[in-house]
Amino acid sequence: MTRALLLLSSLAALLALASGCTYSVHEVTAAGFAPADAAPAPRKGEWIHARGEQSVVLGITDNTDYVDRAYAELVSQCPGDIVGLSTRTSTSLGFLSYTNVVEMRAMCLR
Amino acid sequence: MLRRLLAILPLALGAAPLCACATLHKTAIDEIDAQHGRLQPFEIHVSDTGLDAKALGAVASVAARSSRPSKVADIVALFEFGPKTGDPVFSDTFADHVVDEVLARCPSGRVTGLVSLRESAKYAVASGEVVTVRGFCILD
Repeated sequence: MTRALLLLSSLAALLALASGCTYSVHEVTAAGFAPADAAPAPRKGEWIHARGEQSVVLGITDNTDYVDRAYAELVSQCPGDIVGLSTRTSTSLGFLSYTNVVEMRAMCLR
Repeated sequence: MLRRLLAILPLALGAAPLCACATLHKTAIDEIDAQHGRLQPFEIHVSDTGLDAKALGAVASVAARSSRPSKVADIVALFEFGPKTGDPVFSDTFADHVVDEVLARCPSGRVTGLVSLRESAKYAVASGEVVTVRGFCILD
């Protein structure tokens, strides 16, 4: 009975791994909370977001600047100070292929 | 008494890896803010459950007394192609709210000495994929 239960639960977990989307989260960092310019009055803040992706098939890709593009996209959204930056690098795993993702989220102080 | 202790020690050491094995994958240290004030430490943990296909296959093989489940696990591994840190998880956004948590702990946003850690706590077939952020809130 216990063996059958163990077998069934292991196979169910394997099926979930094969059928569902799985990810590997490599790094999550929180940084840069101190504004570059200490303004005397409170400033308006809004969240900004940028994402870069790199598709890799059998270890081959032609896109090697996705992080640079994500960073440029983030900076272009904010004319003031960018603070409270959260950066995630992860991989969306797939069948003989994968997608590397960099996701940046920060607060723009105008 | 001593003999009993010596007999238990190898068993305890041998069983330790079966309980959990912690791995530190990455560390990032942020800037130190020069502002003065009292410092209040804070620590934020977020985690998700990872699954190890090969270990699941091995457990299923033992339960079934057959090597077939291990072969199935090898096929499943083809669907998990790519670089891995720890075991695969079913969500890549589980740690996206850490900055919100930092601001919740320190609403003034005067934060210094942030350390971001990426860790895993590995168990037999599953793992805890953990993101930890430690820092200090500058008060006053």
